[in-house]
Amino acid sequence: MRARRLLIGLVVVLGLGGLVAVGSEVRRPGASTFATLSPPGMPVAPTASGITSSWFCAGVPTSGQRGGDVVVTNPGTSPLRGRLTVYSTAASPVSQDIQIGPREATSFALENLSKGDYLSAFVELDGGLGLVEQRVRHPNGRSLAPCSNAPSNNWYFADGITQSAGYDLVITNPFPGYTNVTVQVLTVDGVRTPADLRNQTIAGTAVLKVDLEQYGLRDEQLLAVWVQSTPERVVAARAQNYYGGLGRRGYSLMLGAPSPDYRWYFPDGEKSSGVSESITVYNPGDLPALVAVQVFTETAGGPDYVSVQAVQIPEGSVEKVDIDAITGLPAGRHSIIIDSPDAPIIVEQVITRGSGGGAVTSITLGSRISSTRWWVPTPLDDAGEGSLIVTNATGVEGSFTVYALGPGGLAPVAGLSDIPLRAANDFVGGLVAVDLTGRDVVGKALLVESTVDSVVLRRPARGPNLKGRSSVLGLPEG
Amino acid sequence: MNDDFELGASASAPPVVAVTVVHEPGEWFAEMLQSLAAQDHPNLQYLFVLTASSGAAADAIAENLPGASVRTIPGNPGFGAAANEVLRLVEGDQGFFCFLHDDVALAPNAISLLVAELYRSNAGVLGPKLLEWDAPGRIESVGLRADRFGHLVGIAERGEPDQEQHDAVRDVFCISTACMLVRADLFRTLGGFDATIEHEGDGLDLCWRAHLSGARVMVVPDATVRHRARIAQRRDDSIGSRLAARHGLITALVMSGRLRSVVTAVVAPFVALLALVGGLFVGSTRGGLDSLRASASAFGRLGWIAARRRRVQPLRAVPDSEIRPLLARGSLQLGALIRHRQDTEEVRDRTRVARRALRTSGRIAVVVWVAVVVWFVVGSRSILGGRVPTIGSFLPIPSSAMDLFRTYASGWWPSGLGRSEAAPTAVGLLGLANMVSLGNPGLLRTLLVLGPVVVGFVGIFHFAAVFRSGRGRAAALVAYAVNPLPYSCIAAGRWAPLAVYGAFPWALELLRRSSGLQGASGVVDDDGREVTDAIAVVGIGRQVRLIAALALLEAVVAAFVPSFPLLVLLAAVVLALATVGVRGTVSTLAAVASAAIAALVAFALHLPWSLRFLDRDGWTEFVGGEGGSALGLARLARFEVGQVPIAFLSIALFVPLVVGVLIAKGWRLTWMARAGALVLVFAGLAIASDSGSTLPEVGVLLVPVVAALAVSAAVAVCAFDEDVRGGRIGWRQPVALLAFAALAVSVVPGIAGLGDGRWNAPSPELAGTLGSLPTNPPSGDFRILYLGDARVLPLPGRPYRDGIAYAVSDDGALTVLDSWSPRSGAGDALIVQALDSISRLSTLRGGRLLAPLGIRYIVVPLVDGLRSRRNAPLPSPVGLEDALADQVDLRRSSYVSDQAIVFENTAALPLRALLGGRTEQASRTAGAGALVEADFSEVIPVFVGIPHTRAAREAISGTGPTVLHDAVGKDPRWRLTLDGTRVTGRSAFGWSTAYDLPGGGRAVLRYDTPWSRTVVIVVQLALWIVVVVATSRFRGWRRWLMRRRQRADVPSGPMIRLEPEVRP
Repeated sequence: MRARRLLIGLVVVLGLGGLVAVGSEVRRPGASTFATLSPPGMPVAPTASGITSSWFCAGVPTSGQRGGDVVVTNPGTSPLRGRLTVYSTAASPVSQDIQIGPREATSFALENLSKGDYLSAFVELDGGLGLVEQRVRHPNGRSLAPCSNAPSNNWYFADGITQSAGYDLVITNPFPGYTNVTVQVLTVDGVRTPADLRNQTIAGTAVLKVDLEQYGLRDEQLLAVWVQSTPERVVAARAQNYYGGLGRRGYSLMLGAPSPDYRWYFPDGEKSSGVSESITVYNPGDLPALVAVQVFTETAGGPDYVSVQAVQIPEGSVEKVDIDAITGLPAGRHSIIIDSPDAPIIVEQVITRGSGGGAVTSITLGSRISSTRWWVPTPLDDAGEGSLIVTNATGVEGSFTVYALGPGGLAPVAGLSDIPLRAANDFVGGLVAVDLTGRDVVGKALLVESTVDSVVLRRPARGPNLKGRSSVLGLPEG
Repeated sequence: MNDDFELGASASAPPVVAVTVVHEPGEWFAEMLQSLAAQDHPNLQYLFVLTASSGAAADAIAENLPGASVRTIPGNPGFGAAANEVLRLVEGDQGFFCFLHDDVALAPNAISLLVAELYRSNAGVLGPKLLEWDAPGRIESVGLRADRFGHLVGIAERGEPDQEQHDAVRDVFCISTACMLVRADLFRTLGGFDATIEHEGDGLDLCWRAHLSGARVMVVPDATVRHRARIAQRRDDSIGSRLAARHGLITALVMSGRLRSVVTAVVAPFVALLALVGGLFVGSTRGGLDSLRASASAFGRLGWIAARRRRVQPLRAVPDSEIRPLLARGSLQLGALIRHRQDTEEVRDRTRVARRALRTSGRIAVVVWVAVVVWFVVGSRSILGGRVPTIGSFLPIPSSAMDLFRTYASGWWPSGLGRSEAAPTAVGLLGLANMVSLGNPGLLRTLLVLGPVVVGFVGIFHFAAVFRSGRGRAAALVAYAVNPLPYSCIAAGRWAPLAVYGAFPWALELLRRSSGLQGASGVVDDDGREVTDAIAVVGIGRQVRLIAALALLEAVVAAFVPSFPLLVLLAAVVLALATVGVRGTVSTLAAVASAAIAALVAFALHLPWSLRFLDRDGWTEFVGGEGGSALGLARLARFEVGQVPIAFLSIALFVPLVVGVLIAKGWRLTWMARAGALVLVFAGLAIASDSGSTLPEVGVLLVPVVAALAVSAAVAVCAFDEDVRGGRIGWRQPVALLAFAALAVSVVPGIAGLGDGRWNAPSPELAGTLGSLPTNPPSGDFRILYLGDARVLPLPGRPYRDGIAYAVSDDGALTVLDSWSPRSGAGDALIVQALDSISRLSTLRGGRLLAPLGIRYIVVPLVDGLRSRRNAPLPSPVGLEDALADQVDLRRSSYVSDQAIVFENTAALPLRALLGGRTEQASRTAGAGALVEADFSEVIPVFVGIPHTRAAREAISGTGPTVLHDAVGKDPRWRLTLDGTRVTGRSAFGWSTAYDLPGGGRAVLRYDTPWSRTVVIVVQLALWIVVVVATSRFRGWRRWLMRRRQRADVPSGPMIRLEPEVRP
C-alpha cells in the first residue's frame, strides 16, 4: 500500500512539476504577419511578375503651354496591356485601356484625356512588369520624374523656396474614399501649418493643388514641407518654377520622399565656375541628426581638404549645406553620400549651372538604395556629353555596361561595355560620366548593368529651345 | 396468539394454498422450499408458478416438496399475472391464498400465525414482518403507508434494528407481496392482482381494492419472514422506482373517489415538480423525474383509467371518505426528501458480494446547494434580468423555429459563401430548442449560456454520489462550482467550454456506470481488509442503455462542440490506464469500449454533416480552429480564460489533489490516482493548445481538469472522514485540514465575481461597428469578410496563415448560424488567392478579386473586449492594414471605430444583380488577371433581402437580353425560371453563377432540395429515435407478446381444490 501511494504521489507531483516546467517555457506568440512590406521608398523597377504592377504618377500641369505625358516602357517580349486612369483637379477620373508593344516605350499625353490645373495618372500594367515615368512639358524646361510604386500617408520635401519662385504641391488621392491632408511647412521661422491646410479634404480619385504662396508663404528662402494624409494615402509632388530667386532658374516637378532614411546617394556633383551646389537636409523626427557629408571626388583634394563634413541638424529643422564652401574641394565632378546614423532624414541636392538668364537649376532627391541594374526607361530625346553618370557605391572595383532596348532586345551600346568603375578609395574615384551619343542610344530605353552596386543618374535635355540639362535618377531594380 | 387459534379452531384446519411465483431462482431457493416444508400449518398445499427462465426449480421443488403442484408459464408476465394463475388452478373459496416470492424464508409458524390473526381480526389481507435475509435482526418491512398519489413509504425504516418496536398487530394500508395471506373468496371477488402491473405496485393495487371492498389489511409482526429482495442483481431491467411511481399514481387515480381523483391528477405533476426541484438539493432527482413521468403516463392513459374505474366500481362497498383517513396526509415523497434516508446497495469486488450502507446527502448537501444556487443566481442576475451579451460565441439565435428547420432541411447551407451541403445537426436541434422555448430566442440564449453551468453542478453532484458521502458530494459540488472556468468563459464569450462543463460530469458518470466503477466504502476482501477498487455488476441490457445514453449526450454536445466525444474517449482511456496502473480493476477498460462505441454512434447520428471531419482539413474544424490562445501557464492554472477577479486564489483547488494523495487509502487512493491522471493529461493538452497546437480550445480541455479536481476534493473529504478522523494524531490531520482550507480559499474569487451580475462579461465591443453596417441596402445584399488575428474574429475563422484567419458572413447581424461554415470550396480558394495577392502587393486591385464573391466590406477586428481589450489590445497582424490600405479599390469605411478597421470594397458586386455592358462581358472571363481589369460598375441589384434559403421572386423589367448574376458557386441545384421557363445557369467570373435572360419577366430563383436530403433527414431522425429509445427500458412490446403467449399456452384446468382438513 505504501509503495502504491508512493507511486501515485510521485506521478502526481512530478507530473504537476513537469507541467509547470513545460508550461513556463511556452512563449506567447507575437503579432502574426500578413504582409512583409518595405517602408515606402523610392520608385523601383519590378523584377517579379505579379497580377498587375501599379504606378502613381505625380501630376502634370496642363494650363497654357504646359502639359505632359506618361511614358510606359515595355522591356518584355510580348505586348503589355494595362489601364491608364487620369485624375484631375477639376474633373472625374478618366480611364482607358493601353497597350505597349514589346520592347517599346509609348507615351500617353494626359492633357488629351482630361482637364484641370494638374492631371495625375495611375497606370496599371497586367503581368506585373513595365516601367512608367512622367514627363512634364513646361515653358521653363522639361521635367522628368519616375512614378511612384505606392501611395503613402506621408510625403516630405526638404528643399523649396518661394522667393521669386512658384511652389505648388500636387496631391493626388487615388483611392475611392476621401482623405484629409495636413500640410506642415518648416521655414527658418519655425513650423507653420496654415489653418486652411489643416485637414484639407480631398475627395476620392481627385487631385488637390496647393499653391503655397496663397497661404502666406511668400519670399521664403527655404521651406521644407511635410504632407500628412489620413485615412487614405496620397501621392504628393512638388512643382517649382524658378524665376531667379537665390539664383535659381528652370522648372522642376518632383515626387516627394514618402519616408526619411539614413543614407542618401547623390551621383551628380560638380565644383566648377558657374556652378553652385548645395544640399538641403530636413530632419522631421524627434531626434537630432549628426549628418556626415561624404564627398567622392575625381581627383584628390588639397592638404586642407577634408572629405567628410559633419553637420548637426536639430530635430524638426531643415538646414542647407553649401558644398561649394567646402575648403579645398577639388574642381571637377564628385558624388556625395549622406549618412545620418542617429536619425532618418530627407536630403535633396540643388545644383545651378550657368548664370543669369542662362542658368538652370536641377533639384534631385537622393537615391536611398544602390543596385547593379538601373533602368533609364524614358528614351533620351537627344545625345549629350556627360548625360549619364554612374557612381560606384562600394569600395570594390567593378565595371558597367550600358544596354539599349531595341526590337531585338537589350543590346550593349557600342563603346559602353565593361567600362571600369573604380573603387572609391579614400574618397577619390568611383565616378564615371558617360557621353550618350549616336543613334544607338537616342530614342531608346537603356539599362545600366554594373558588377558592383552603383547609383545611376541621367541628365536629359531641358527642351528643344532651352539650354542645360536636368538631373534625374535612374530606376533601380528593387 | 397461536395458542388462541389452536383453542378456537374447529376440528378442521382452514386450507391454505401457498402460491409461489418462481423466476430465475438462485441458491437461496432451496432454503425457501425448506422453510415452506417446515410450516406447522396442518392444511397447507403448495402451488408453484414457474416462469420460463426458472431453470431446474421444478427439480428442487420435487425434492423438497414432493406433493407440490407446479405450473410453468411462458415468459415472465410479472408477479401479479403469474400469481393470478391461482384463480384457475385452485378450485373453491373456503380457504386462503398465501402469495410468496421465491426469495423468502418463512419462520415455521408464519402461515399459521397469519391464519390465526385473520380469523381473530376478520381481516382480508395480512402480511408478516419482513426481515432482511442476511441480517434477520433488521427490519425490511412491517407494512407500508400510502398517500393520495399512490406513493408508498415503509412504516419502519429499511434496515432498522428489530427491537420489537413494531411488533403490534396493526391495520396498514398496504403490505408487500413478498408474503401476503389473502382470503380466497376475497381474492376471487377482487379479481386477483391487476395483471397489467408486472412489477412494483401490484400489492398497493390489491390492498386498495381490498379496502374498497371493506376488507381490512393488517400486518402481523409475530409472523416473520426473511426476504432477500435483491431485484437489482436478479433482473437487469429493474426500473423499480419508475414503475412504482407510475403504477402507484394510476392506482390512486383508479381507486380514489371521482372528485378526489381529478384533484389528484391535477396536483400530482406539481408535486412531482417540487420533488424534482427538492431532489436537486439532495442529489436525488430520480424520484421527481419518475413522478413526472408517472403524471405524463397517467395523462396518456386517461381512457384506460376511466375504464378501469368502471370495472372497480362494483367493488366499492365503503365510501371514499372512510378510506381517506387510512392514507397519509400530504405527499410522502416530499416528506422523504427532507428526511435523512438510508438505502442499501450491493457491490462486488471481483469475487465476493458485500453489503454496505448508502446514504443520500442529507442536510449538508441541502445547505451547500442552497448556497451555490443563491450565489449563482446573484452572480448571474444581470444576465437573468437582462440579456446575454453578444460577445464571442454568444451569438443571437434566429427567432423563427421554422426558419431553422427550413435551413436544416434544405440541402443548401447558406453560411459563409454557401454550398450544397448538409446543414449541421445543431441547426435542427436549435430549431427544436426554439420551439421548446416558445419562440423566445432571448430566453433560449440565456438557458444555453447559464443552463450548462447548472447542469454541470447537478452532474458532478450526481457523479460524486459514488463516494457515498454527503460531505464528499458537497465538497465536489463546491470545488466544481467555485472553479473560475465557467465564469471566465462567460466573461470571454466562450460557449463550447460551457457546454462541455455541463456535459462532462454526466459523461463521466455514464462511463463509470457502464464500467461498473464504484466507491468501495465498507467493502472488504476475504481477509477483512478494505478493497482498493470495486465494481458493480452491469448487465448487457443496462450496458446498452448506458452506452446509448452516453452516445446521446455526446451527440447533442458534439452538435456544437464536435470534439466532445473524443474528449470523453480520451478521459475513458486515461481513467482505464490510471486504474490499471495503480492495480485497480481492469474492468475500467469497459469504459474505453463504451466511450468508443458511443463516439461512433454520436458520429453516426450526425451523418452526413460529420463526414466533413474526415476531410484533409477536417481536424482543424473538428477541434474548432487552431490553438494558440497564448494565455500562459499562470492563467491556465487559474482557469482564467476570461477575466476573473483574484483568480489566483483558485490555484488552491489543486491542494485537495495533493493532500488526497498523501492521506487517502484503499479505494480512495485509487480514485485519487484517476483524478490525478485526468488533471495531468488534460492540463498538458491545455498547455499544448495554448501554445499553438491544433487541439480543442483550452477552455474545453480544462473542463476535465476541473471535474477531476472536484472529484479529488470529494475523495479528500472522504479520506479525511475514513482514513484520518478518529486515527492517531499525527501529520495527517493538519495536512488533511489543508484541503478544507484550500476549498474555503477557492470560494473567494467566486464571491468577488458577484459584482456586476454578469461574471464580468464585457459589453459587446465589435457589435457597434458591425451593427452600423447596412442590412439589405438598396444597393444590394452583400457579404462581409472578417480578416485578422484568429483570436479576435467574431466568428470561427478559416486559417489563412500565421495565426491569421478569415470568416465570411452575409449582411445583417451575425447569428449563431454563421458559426458553422460549409466546407472550403472554390470560393474559399478565390479568397485565399485574393489575400495572397494583397499581401504580396502583386496587385492593388484586391477589391476586384473579391468582387464576384459579393464581399463588400472587409472588417479587421482589433478590439473585441475579450481577448483584445482597449487597455491591452492584441497586436494587429503585421502589414495587414497597410496592405489593405494600398488597395485602390478599397476605401476605409465611414463606419470607423477603434474596435475594427473597416474597408469597403467599391468594386463589389451585389449578391444578386443584373449585369450589363462591360460587367456582363467580364462575367464570361475568369482568373485573377481578368478580374483585376473587369468593370463591375454596370449592375442592378435584385432579390434584395431574400436569403438563399428561400425562393426569391422578382419581376425583371426590360425587353432585351440581360444577365442575372448570383454570387454562389455554380451548382445545378439552383434553378431560375423566367415566366415559368427554366433558364440554365453558367459559370461566371470562374466561380459564381450567371443566367442569361432573353428579356424581362417574372424571375424565380430557388434551390431544389434533392430527395436524397429528405431521405437522409428521415434516416437521421430514425437513428436519433432509436438511440433515444435505447436509453430507456422500452420493452412493452415484449411483455405484451409474452402475455399473449401465456394466455395461449397455459392449460385452464384446476390443479388444487381447497378443502378443510379434518383434524383427528
